[in-house]
Amino acid sequence: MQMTSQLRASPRNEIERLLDAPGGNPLKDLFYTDADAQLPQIRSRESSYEHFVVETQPGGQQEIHRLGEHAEAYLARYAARPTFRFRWRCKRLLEQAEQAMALNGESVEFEDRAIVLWAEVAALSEYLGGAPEVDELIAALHAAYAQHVKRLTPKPVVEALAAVFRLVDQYTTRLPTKAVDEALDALEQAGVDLNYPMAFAKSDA
Amino acid sequence: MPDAFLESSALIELVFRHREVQRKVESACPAGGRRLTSRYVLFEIARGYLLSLLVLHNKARAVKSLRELHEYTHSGQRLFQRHRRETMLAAYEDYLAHLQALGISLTEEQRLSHFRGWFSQHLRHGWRRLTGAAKTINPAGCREDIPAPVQNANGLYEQPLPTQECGFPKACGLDGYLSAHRADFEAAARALAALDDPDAETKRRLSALQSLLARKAGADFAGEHCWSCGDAIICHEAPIDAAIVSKNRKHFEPLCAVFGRTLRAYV
Repeated sequence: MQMTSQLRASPRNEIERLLDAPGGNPLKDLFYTDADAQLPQIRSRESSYEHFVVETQPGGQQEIHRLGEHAEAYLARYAARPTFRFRWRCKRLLEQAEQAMALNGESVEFEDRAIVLWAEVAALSEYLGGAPEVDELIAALHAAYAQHVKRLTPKPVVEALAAVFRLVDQYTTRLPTKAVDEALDALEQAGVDLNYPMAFAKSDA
Repeated sequence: MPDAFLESSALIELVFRHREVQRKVESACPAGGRRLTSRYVLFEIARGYLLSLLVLHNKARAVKSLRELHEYTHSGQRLFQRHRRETMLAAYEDYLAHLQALGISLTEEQRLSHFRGWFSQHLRHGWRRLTGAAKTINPAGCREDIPAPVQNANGLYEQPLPTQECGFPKACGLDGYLSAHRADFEAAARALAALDDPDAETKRRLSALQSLLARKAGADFAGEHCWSCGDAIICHEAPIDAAIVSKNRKHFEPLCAVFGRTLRAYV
């Protein structure tokens, strides 16, 4: 049974890897060609972008140089996927969390850093909808945010946040469920109540 | 120091509810003892409470907005069994209250993604805790092959339970268990029949118990009869020296009295 699932997973992983890889590759080219073949009638005319650079001389005189012209599809190949943007954001948050961790957990500076960090955690909502596993992580981080936004943040919680951001940073491709669960465990071990949203309804057990 | 035997309501609250409720359950457990539960309790939770949450999660994957999900949970009077509807509604309203308390401005699309994300990890996390929160015993010989819920390629959770086999004597150990403890269950049936003003659940339990006891050992039975007798079977499964921890005093008190078990009910 396990062998079957591995056999099934392998091509899928390979496809995901090719789709996630930066730049062009034969698989992406195939999709673009297919799309071009199927959508010519209904697609509106593709945008084209001309790039210029403005050079200002010491005397204040400006010269404009044309760099080139690129089609929208060409530029889209290099646009970052939402999951990549989430990862980059987490990388920055990891740096912030590590800076806070270097401080005394009882100090005003630490709490100040923690407040900023929580504000950043709240702002992660802009990445919702990018990928299911990213949604899961954000929802769990928001549960932690709800518990700590109006009280002092214990240092182990900031350490757990750092562990979550570090985990995200480790995966250049799609986050596996195992990594999400590992992140949840780190939060829970630090004292975060992951069931915090289940706080209001009467028991129906 | 007696062990704590967690029946379904207590185990659900320990695993799926927020920390204050968890503490209530923990404080009802005798200090220093082990926490026990049974395979029957896990199966009951899987085919009841957890299944309701899986249905809600999968519906959330199918709708296009949280508003549609709102309509689904609130217009279920004719669509679902009452307990299933209440479980879904409670979870959904919990989430809405949480979202309101969060105070983060989200678009309609983001709200739906947020709900899906939260609920998906909540289910997986809950199952992991469910199977690790207490030592599992299986005196009644309930099915051991309860798979964990897994997400398919469409993101929907699936948990194929062997409920189709409930009622076949060879599919589980219930038939033998009832035969071995026939006198106890007959006493329970007499005690339930003697209750003043029994509620609908007790009436259903009594009828199912009488039906199970009336048939010949080894004969097929209706799977629903086993489910309707859940509290009686769970109560009897609890080790005699353990305290049964439950929120459900109403149904467990008379059964504990018949079976000579200690009940530690909490509110």
